[in-house]
Amino acid sequence: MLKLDDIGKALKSASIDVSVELEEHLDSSFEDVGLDSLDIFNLFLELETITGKVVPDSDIDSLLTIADILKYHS
Amino acid sequence: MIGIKAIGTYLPENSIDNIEQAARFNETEEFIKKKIGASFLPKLSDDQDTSDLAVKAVEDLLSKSQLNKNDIQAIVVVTQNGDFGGLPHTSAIVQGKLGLSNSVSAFDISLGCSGYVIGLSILKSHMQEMGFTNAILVTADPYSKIVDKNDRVTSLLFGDAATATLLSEDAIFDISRPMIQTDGSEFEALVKKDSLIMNGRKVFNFAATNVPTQIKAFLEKQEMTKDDIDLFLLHQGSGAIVDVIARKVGGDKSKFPLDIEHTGNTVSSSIPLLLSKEFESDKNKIIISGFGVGLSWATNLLERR
Repeated sequence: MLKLDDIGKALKSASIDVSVELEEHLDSSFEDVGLDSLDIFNLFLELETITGKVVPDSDIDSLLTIADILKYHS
Repeated sequence: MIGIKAIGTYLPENSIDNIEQAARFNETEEFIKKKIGASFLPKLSDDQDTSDLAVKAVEDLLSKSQLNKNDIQAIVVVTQNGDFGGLPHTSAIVQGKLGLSNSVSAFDISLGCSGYVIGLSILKSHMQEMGFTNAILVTADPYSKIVDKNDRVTSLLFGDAATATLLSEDAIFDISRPMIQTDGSEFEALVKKDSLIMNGRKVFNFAATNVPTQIKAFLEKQEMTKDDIDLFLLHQGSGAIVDVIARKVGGDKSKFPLDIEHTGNTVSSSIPLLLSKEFESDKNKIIISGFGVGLSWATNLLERR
């Protein structure tokens, strides 16, 4: 099961600086969290390393928030 | 032994302002500068075709190297966007436009971003087989011919350019034996249909996963470590791709230059454009690694004599 800390670790591994507190923006869009399209590629890449699970293209379009990612990996 | 003696380059004068173009897609200047890395994208003019870019690069090479064009024994063009859709082969058109001897061996290589690394190996082998001492490897793959300017994924990335590399016995860099890999099951990640179609995430993941693994395997095979290498000249896919590969290979990030502000992703020309700036440098051991269309990826070592 993926935890919020893991997402924080993935962002750090990808050298992505997020200026907001993730727990306060679980339902915000990635854009509102400050992530651009390439940040999202990097985030999912690092999450794949952590979880060992590849998110297929068919699923990724439905993952629009941090909460969506947590739920997908629950 | 045959190696790299000199490199000529050509960038079309016509250029797209990528910051202005990005605004059309609601992308910020910061995104373009930090993540893509290209503020300007050279574009061939309406009266230019692939062979014209190639000729300009060879002319630059001839002026830099003092090579007499009558001494050229082979001319090979790496492209997937030749004149007339690739028939006849662009290398024949280039041979004609340059007025090279009819005895010149001329053929094209159909590869994308891995084309320079693999092309060096092919031409070096061909020269050894034929007993040639001077041959030119051209890269000229102007994607502006196939990019849909309304496609956000591709139109912010690619620029047009050409390079011409002189392979000769009297060389500056020796060329080792490359490591070459292909995964055709994923070819649809980057494919030309009516226009160029790219699955950005697939290409990103492919490069971020496979290229560092190949570079590490190549170094192991050479019985070297990343610290033995002075410079890693990666295909300049985008700022983000160079960044993630550098991160995964590890070590000093300054060894992984990104230099595409005025060029964009120039496909098979990106590595020779970088390498052309290293002839007078103090970098002796240089890894080159190209990856993209196919999907295809290839890595090799160049060593200064």
